[in-house]
Amino acid sequence: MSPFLQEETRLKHKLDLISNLGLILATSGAETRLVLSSMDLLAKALEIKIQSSLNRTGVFVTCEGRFGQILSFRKIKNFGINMATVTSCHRLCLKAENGEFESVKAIEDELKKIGQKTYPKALIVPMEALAGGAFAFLNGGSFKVYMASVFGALILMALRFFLTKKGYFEAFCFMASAFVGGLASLLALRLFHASYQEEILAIIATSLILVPGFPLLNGFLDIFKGYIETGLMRSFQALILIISAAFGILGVICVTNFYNL
Amino acid sequence: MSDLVIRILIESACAGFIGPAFAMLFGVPLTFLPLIAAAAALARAIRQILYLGGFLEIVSATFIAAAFISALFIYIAPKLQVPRPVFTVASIISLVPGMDAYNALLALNELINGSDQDLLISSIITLFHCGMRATAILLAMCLGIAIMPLFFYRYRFHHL
Repeated sequence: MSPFLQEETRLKHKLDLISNLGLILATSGAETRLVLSSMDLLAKALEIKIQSSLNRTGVFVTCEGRFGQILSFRKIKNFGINMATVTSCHRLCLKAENGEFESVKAIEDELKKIGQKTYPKALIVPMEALAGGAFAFLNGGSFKVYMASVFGALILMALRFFLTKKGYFEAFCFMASAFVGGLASLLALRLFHASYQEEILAIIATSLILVPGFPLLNGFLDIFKGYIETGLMRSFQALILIISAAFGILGVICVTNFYNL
Repeated sequence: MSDLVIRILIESACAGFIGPAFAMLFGVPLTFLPLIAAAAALARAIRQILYLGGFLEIVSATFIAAAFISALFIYIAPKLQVPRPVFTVASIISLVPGMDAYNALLALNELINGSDQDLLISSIITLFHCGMRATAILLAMCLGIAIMPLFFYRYRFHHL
């Protein structure tokens, strides 16, 4: 292979590495500015000048090669959220900027090691259930409202994880789990002969753990930093999830009205 | 201790639990959870002191609490080499206006199914009042978090 071609291959390899980083960050819920600035940092560490862009379709990275422009593109299938991955990628970029890696291969190996670290479901479900109970206290609920909210939130989270694992759309998972969780907390509260106001509190507290905080906040952060397109996309994604959860709660109201529960 | 102080302390403790629980759902590393718990409790305490203490109405109090948390992590997050949203989002989640949103939803349901004229008018008022309040609080949370970094943009750019 000629030296020119070898140089082009090396350049393409570096671009692929940068676009892989962008893809991991974008699919882990990093705000657009963080994705772009991290890619710029890594490019600086790899001593190449790039132009990058991010939208709903994918991550684009280009640079000038000897025979013209080289492009690296990575398609984004979905925008997930994993803050451990975002933190690891961010630290990798800072280490690369400080020259702590000996070679491009070392950066590549480090990037490959970054996985989607999550807590075990058996730990998250009870934690979220207790958070539902804490929401009940925050809104002025009594101990029985707390207990009903914990029960409802437990069922809600278990169902949400089950439906997500089965591959259903996120909006459907929110709607179904809000409905079942809300109904469960309502029925649990009936055992304690609670008042109407307490029933309302239990349903709210149960469904509050579904608030899509990260897409909503990321959407606003993007919009305020000038990335209107991705910002609006994330905000609408959050809005759809909120509406889905609201539909689930409306379902609980309709069912209780219909059956005079 | 007065009832108000006890109430604020209990609410802060609850918020201090909700923050890390929410953060765990999105894979925030274990080492940052105590910091999130403290920040979530602080956010709730600031809002309730401002609101229940009678200094401000709820939307402004929420905005100030969110802005304070945002400013706090603009200082802390670069030192820990962690992007700010890892902390800020989970820290303010306990400020979400659940009761207002639900009342608006109930009023909407009443508007769709109700037939009594007086009840319909009262539902319209509740829908707009609670709906607007819930939206305003949500906006205040988002703006509080999003606006603060704009003041420190150059600082963050140089330290990224």
